This record gives sequence, structure tokens and C-alpha cells, in this order.
Amino acid sequence: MNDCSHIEESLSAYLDGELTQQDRQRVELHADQCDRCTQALAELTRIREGISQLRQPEPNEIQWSRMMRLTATKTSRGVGWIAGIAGGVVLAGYAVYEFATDETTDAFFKVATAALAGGVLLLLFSVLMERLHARKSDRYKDVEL
Amino acid sequence: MVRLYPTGVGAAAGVLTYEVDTDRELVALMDDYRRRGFVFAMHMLGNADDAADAVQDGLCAWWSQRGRVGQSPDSIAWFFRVVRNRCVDQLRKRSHRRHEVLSPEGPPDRRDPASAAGDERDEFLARLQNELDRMDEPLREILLLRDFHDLTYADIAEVLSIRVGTVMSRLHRARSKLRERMKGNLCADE
Repeated sequence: MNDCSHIEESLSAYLDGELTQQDRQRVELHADQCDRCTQALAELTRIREGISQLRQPEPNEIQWSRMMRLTATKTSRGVGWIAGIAGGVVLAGYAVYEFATDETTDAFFKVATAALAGGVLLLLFSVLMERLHARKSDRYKDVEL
Repeated sequence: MVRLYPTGVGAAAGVLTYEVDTDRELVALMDDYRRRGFVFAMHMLGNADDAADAVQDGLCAWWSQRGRVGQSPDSIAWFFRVVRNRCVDQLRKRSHRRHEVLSPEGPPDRRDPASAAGDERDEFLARLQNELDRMDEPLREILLLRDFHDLTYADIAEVLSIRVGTVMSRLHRARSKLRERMKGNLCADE
């Protein structure tokens, strides 16, 4: 019965066949003389076998085909986003340039419009920063189990 | 020779179809990864649609790595690590794991209602499932990787990016805890 606590730590690895031959023999020799460890081995074996028999979820047809959608979908989605954003930036820049250089528009109106646009952009920026901060503080360890 | 490439209408629609001349093993491997990856992702996420997305990402990575000289992603541990990372990303986004894990429709299968032994075994497995679901994520995860997915310690170490010694001690802790919780349901002579 001696050295039980040390042997107990090896029982799990013994069951998995992950011990060296020497450690394996040590566990077997001890278990031959120790009812407590023999029982622990039997119970751990039952748990181990039980887990291996748990139900295996199977994907349905939709999920199965979803798993087969590969790089083409991903790539086209990425390219679509980049193209869309790039186009938007170019058009917005062009519109701003046209507006700023348009001599028929009153200077007062230009300043007011610039202030409005700047204000909206600042608001958007502050919301974005808030979101980013919230995302950073979202810890995996806080995952509800 | 292996020929595995996107073809025809399927490829245009973003769906990978493949043709294989002589190497059926590669297709079988991919099929096996997809199945096992789905089960693993289900264990982590508890939702079939999200699990399918994670596996898709994992297959994408597998697919891209296969073409590179000197890369050897043909190990389930490598694939599981990619899928697991995607699952962790998804969990971060939604901040909780859903509870559809393993037995969404009640007790495990292999039911044998005609025999008392079958009922008892089902009851045992249902209890085991329940206790497993209540465990801390790192312990639950390592138990499933070892006992359900049958990965070696070295593979588990790669999937979780930890040392083999840590795998051994964590598994010991997980099994001891589960054994403690299952006291009363562990008659060894059954």
C-alpha cells in the first residue's frame, strides 16, 4: 500500500499506455498489492470506456455541404469587401474634391458642410473605438459554460 | 499520383468538388478529417452550423498547406489545432458555448431498451455526459481529445499547444475529478 499517492498520478497515463516500461511495471506491481489502486484503475477504465461510447453528432446535408465550401467562396468574399471599400473611398474622395473646388458654392455653405461631415465622422470614430475596447476586454475565460 | 482540384460548376459556385485518379486514400483522409473535425467542433461550440463553419476554415487551411513543399499537415493533430483556433475565435465573438453538445436529443445512442443492462448503461452514459458537460472547459476538452477522439498525448500537446507533461497531469486531474463526481455510478463489475 506504500507510495499510493505517487502511483495514483500515474494510473491515468498507465491506462493510456503512455508510461515507460519501467513505470508501467511499477504500477502493475503496486496494483497487485493495493486494492485501492486496483479499484481506482477499474473505475477510471469504466469512465474512459464510457466517454468513448458517447453519442457522435452527425452533420446534416446542409452542414455537410457547408464544410465543402472552400477557398473560392472565402476568396471572393474577401475580394468583394476590398473592392467595395476601395471604390467607396475613391468616390468619396472625388466628391469631396469636387465640392471643395466648386466655385459656385458659397464658402459659408462649404464650411458648414465640412463641420457636419467632420462631426459625423468623429461620432463614428468614437463608436468604433468603444467597440474595439469592448472587444478587447471580452475574455475567453469568461465564456459561459 | 494525386489529382485533387476544384472542378466545373461546383468550383464556380464556390463548392469544392474533386477528382482523384489513383489516390483514394487522400479523399478518404479528407472525409475522415471532415467527420472528426465536425465532432470536435461540436464538442467545443455545441452548435452544428458554427461547427461546420469552423471545419470549413480548417479544411481551407489544410487545403492550402497541402500544396506547399516541405509542409506536412497530414496529421489529425495539426487539423484539430486549426479547427480549435477557429472555435476559440467563434467563442470569443459570442461569449458563450451552447448546450447542444454530444447528446442534443437526450441520452446517448446504442440504446437497448429490451435489456436491463442496456438501460443501466444508458443511464450511466447519460450521467457521464451530464457530468462531463459541467466540467471546466480545459478539463472537459482534454478528456474528449483523449478518450473520445483517441488522440495520443503528443497529439493533444500539439492541439492545445502545451507540453506532454502538462497533458499527463491535466488528464490525471480531469479523470480524478470526473471519477469523484461519478461516485455511486461506478460499480466496476458491470
